Amino acid sequence: MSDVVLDANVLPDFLSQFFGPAERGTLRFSAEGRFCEQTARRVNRIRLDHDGDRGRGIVVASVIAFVELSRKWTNIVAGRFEPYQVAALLAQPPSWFSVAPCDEELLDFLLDVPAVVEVADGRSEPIELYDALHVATAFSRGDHVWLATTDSRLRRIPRLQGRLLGRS
Amino acid sequence: MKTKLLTCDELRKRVSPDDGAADDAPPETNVCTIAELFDLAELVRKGKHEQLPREFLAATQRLLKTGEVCIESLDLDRLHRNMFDDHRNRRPGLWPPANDLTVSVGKTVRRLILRVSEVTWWDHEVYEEMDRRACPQR
Repeated sequence: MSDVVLDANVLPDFLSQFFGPAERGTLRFSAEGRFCEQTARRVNRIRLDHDGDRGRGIVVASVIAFVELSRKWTNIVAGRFEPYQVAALLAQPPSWFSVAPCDEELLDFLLDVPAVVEVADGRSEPIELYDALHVATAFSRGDHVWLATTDSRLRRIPRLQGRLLGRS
Repeated sequence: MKTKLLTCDELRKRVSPDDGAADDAPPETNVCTIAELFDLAELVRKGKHEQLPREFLAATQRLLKTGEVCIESLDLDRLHRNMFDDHRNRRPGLWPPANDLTVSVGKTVRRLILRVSEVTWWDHEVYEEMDRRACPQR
């Protein structure tokens, strides 16, 4: 089973499910906002594999996704969950969920993220550092990883084609 | 021994020794955050640095091996310790400097890494100096 990396724009809706209807992963996740059906299905599969002790893949979010969450809390969380719940998750994450560090191990993968991607009309748009770190996190998980993102620029990265969840 | 917080430019000089790192500087402990290293890598990634990616990676590895600079990173433990306010006897809220949209993401990352606690080896001056410094608007 492949890992699923959640981009910063998908993490809040995942957490809303986690602390809400999915009851910390004891029940099924379903689509909510940017956390699409396809992502929910893969997360459920990973969670069930861990329940059955067949755990291979994990759900991953970079520490940067939590930094973004903290910065924009009021706008993006909108009362769906509370800081103490996130603190509890970080204190004791379930076996199928991991928070990936930002350290020098990521450097090699960061340099593999293209500086620009071609978007509509042949125009080029830059991929900025703190977006590129989510991609680097995905690259660091091997070739079979899935990246859940709605960022249209990240979705244009050639190496991620066929490995994307969600839509722009 | 004094703790010196390196700027991105000072780190660059150590990664590119031809640029003349201050070998005769008085002994001090050099610290920076992973954000400075990433800012430097960003110049390489965008072709705005004299080193190619492979050269930069090799030079960085060499620097890390010397122990000349302590590069502090952000991992789960540090995030958990620093993202929330002091919550003795009550439910934790967000630590206000991490819930601040008036600064760049890079500044928030630096704040979360350098927040002083009972487990950090640097003092408040290092954090305050970081917070005073301008930071790339990313």
